[in-house]
Amino acid sequence: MRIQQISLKNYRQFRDQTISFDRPAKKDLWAIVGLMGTGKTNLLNAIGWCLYGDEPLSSEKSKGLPLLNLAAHEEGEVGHRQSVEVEVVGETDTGENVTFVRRASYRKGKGKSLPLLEGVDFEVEIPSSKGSRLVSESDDPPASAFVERFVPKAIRDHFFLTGERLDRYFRDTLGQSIKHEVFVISQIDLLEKVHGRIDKIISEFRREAGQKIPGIENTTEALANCKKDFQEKDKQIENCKGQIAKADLRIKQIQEELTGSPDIEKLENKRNELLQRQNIKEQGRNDKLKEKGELLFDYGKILLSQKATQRSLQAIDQMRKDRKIPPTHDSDLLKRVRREKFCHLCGRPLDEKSTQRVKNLIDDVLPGGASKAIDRMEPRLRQLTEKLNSFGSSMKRVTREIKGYEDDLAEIDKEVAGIDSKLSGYNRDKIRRLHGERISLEDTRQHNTRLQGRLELNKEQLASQIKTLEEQERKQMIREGRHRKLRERMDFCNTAMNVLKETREDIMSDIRKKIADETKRRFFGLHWKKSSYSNITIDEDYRVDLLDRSGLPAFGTISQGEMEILTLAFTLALHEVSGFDSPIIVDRPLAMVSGPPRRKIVNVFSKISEKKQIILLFTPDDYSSDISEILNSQTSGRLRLVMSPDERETTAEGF
Amino acid sequence: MSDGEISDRILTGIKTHSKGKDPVEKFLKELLFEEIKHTGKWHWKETYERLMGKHLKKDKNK
Amino acid sequence: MAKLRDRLFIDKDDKASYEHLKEESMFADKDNKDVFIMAMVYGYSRKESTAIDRKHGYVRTSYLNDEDWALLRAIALAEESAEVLADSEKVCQLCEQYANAGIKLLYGKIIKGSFGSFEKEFEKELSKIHARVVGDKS
Repeated sequence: MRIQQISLKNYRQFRDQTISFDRPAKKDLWAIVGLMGTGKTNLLNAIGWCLYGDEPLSSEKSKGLPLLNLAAHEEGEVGHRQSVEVEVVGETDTGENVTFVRRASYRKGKGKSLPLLEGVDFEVEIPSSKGSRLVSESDDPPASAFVERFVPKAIRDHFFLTGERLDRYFRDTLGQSIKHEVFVISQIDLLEKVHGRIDKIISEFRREAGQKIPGIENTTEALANCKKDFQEKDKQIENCKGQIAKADLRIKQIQEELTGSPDIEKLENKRNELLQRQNIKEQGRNDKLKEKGELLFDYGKILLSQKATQRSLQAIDQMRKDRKIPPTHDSDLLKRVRREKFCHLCGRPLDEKSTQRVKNLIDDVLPGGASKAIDRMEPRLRQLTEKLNSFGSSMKRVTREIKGYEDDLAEIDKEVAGIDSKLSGYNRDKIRRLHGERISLEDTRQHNTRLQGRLELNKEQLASQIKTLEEQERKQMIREGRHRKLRERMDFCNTAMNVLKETREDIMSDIRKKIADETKRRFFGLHWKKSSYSNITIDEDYRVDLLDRSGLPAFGTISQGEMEILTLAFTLALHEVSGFDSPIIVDRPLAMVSGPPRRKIVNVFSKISEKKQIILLFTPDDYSSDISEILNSQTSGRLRLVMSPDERETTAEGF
Repeated sequence: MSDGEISDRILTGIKTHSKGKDPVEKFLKELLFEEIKHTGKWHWKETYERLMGKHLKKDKNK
Repeated sequence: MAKLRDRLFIDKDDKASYEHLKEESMFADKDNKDVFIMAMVYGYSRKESTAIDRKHGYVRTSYLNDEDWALLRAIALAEESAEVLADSEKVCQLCEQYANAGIKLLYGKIIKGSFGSFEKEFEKELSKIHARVVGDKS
């Protein structure tokens, strides 16, 4: 279906506006340009409101406000009724028109109070054998059922898009949400509904069998419990998958936030390690400084007294030469010998010559105390002189060692400063928190993966038990020939459920493959740098991966323009596979793209419009000369939204 | 997909997996059409049992 | 021979200077005897000695070891005749005078220099003396 016409009456900025999109000969491409606030987004909202009764892109603030145009509201009198009306005329592939109309009725209150909503009705005019037929919500099927045939609400996000959504679709959307949308598109949800209802009926048959056939009650009960357990396991598995998908999404978001920021924990650990080393080095340096002080003191005493030492040793040598220092002598003993004229050593009296010799000894040699002092000081002085030889080498060694420590400390300081510099400017607490959150999410992921594994195994075991019990039940019923009718009904239902199950599995696998193939075909068809990427995969949980030339996931490096192309390709694949041929309307497709990719994106839309209606909304800045250069010649129509001077009304003018 | 009907994919799938059992195939197809006809709350059980009775009889008559 | 006295004296006014000297890292764990000997050899190296005005007992002579006595006696012997070695009182007096001059010189060095520069200057001085000694030997 394509949009043939939109008419708005009293809807927000639009007082009375009809916009036609007549089927063109070639490209079904339309551009609408307007400043912020002129109503571009509200045009999208109008379509949403008409078809579904809500405005997909309105802010929380405006959602609560009446839809009624201000000027219209003010013109009315108190108590006067006014209506808001949006009509969307859709054109089917066969050229027939389907008209969707939604009306909201408001009554004006007193003073400055907001208009009161009195009621909303919705009608669809569909082609019939008698021309056309009007269907309202009170009919069966209701009017809204016809909307579901054209653009199901569950997948409208793939028809009404914004530039931001095109850019962030795969980052912000859980694979499970996509899976659900695919289920709706492919009507698998319908198969599941029927399956579930038939299963309920079978459960009743079982209860009936249990009451009528003795012995079968236990089997029936066991079977019912197993099936209940099976369904429970299914739910738990879905829950695990959901947890895993949420964790993956959040981890991806955290990775994006952390891109470019340092690994705080790693750096802080390194810093602490460096500080510990610094302490050890400082201790070592201080010990060496102390050693140096000791050396200076010890060598200081020697060097400063070196002259005295030298002179003393020279004097001692001279005295020894002059025989003023006897080997050893006792001056008191010599004085006594002289006084008594008797030698106590050899026991003989002294003659004249010997007496003179003793007198000379006493008079010429050093007093005993002095020579004793020399005896004691001489070896020490020689030791000190000897020690002087090692002054130079000792000082050099300790100085070198101190320098070694100081160099190491300087290096450590530099490294610490480097880390501090890396960490400065970052919100460390936030980064630490994000790292912590990521670890926690990875744990959650791992836990749920393991749990899922166990649950799958349990489920397999239960499936086997169910099969066995069903067979057992069947045999028991066959044995009881009286209740053949009941058995036949149960067999019939079981067969029907198996058919549904097999059909469902086939379709799921087939659809996923088709979507992946279509996405790939369209992406590589639309993309301008084909060689950058090698493949697109979609797993059974509908997580999409774009692989680079090396076969590695490339979401981290894909540009904004390329992301938009990928989302578009996926959206088009969904359209193709679903069979819903609805237009694509994008509010500000270039909002998240800058530079040369802008032109490329616009060319992509132009190419798509050869087979599908594309309506693009731009601000004047978005619709710059490089863009208008392309679109002015490609579009089937261009409109400018112009706001009145009093800012209460917008009109659309062709340009 | 054409407007408001069951997709061909589903119809083909049901046919294939019914493996020639016409009554089952027809039973399921009718159920599906009933489901898309009724979007809100409806008395599905009666319809299911009625259709089951109808197609089961045909199954027995074969 | 004169009886050895029980202590060596410093000038009472220099007590604070000795304490200040001990605050230098080189003398961090040194006692009175160590700083007295350093003042003594420093005064000797600068050839300065002055008599003490007001005596204050600072170092017990019983704490002096053989090496300490060798230095004290070397100074006395270098300045006087060998007979001085028999007179411990004379030896002590001589050394006290050198120490008295030396402590004033050392304290002045500390005061004049910037914080932490005493040790560096001391090291330079010792290196010069060592170079001279080595030069004389060769």
